[in-house]
Amino acid sequence: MPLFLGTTGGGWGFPSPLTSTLISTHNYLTLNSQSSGLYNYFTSTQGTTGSTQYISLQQMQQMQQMLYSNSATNQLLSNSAALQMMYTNLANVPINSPHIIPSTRREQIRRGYQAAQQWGEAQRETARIKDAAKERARELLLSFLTEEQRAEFAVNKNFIVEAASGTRYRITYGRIANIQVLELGHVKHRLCVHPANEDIPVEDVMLSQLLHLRADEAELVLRANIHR
Amino acid sequence: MTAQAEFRVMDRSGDGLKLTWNTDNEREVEAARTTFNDYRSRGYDLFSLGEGDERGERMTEFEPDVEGILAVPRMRGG
Repeated sequence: MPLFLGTTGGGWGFPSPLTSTLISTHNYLTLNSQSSGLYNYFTSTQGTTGSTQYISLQQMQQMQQMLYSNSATNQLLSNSAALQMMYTNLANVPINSPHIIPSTRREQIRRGYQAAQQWGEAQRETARIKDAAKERARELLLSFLTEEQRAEFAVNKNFIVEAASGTRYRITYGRIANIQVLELGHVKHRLCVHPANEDIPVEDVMLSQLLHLRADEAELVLRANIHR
Repeated sequence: MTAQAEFRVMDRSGDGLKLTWNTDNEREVEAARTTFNDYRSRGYDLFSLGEGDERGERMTEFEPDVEGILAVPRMRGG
């Protein structure tokens, strides 16, 4: 039964940065175990017939280990139903394949694994920076809220601001059209206005809206698009 | 009284610290003033990070004694 590690052009859902770095000259990699007890991996460039290399079970397991021992890679692949299928099928394969994986191909795979590992580490670092940024932004936002607003934010992720004009606004958690203009407790319409730099934490977006509503409500409303 | 002030910028790093200055050190104050004017000319809105009533007030001019400044990117309709 074929065990698909992933394709860049297919529908198996693996991220292309991973599959495309596994084997630099190919964009398609499939591990196969067959009922005859032979194992192979199949590589091809999309649109070509590709080639098949026979390998031993041990080599196949090494490939599997290389691909999945990295936690980031594991995390990426664990989301796919294809990975579950691979684990299920590998558990049932017999151990009698006499074939070996060529050393050149091994080196290609090793380099591919290294690249995938580096990519995974970069992804983790990006996520860590984003989490830290979000936490800093949240702390700063909270430092500007009243006790009542903080309590509301803790429960509903929004808070109400009463501007100088007496108009009440509810700033909800989000970036787009997230300012509700309230009238007699109901939402009259929503305003869409946010910092030009869209790559900032949501909490910073909400803080910037709060600061502008306090400092110059009329100017902010003038800049906003109205959503009814 | 000598105080340490800070200039923060609302960006992807989450209000990252751009610089700090000693309010008694003229050279540092001037560096802070230059940074303030630079961000202002780039369209940022600047708000006070002080602890008193001035906290959150919009700043159109640099004030050397302010406890902190937050630069917020220009707002635009979405």
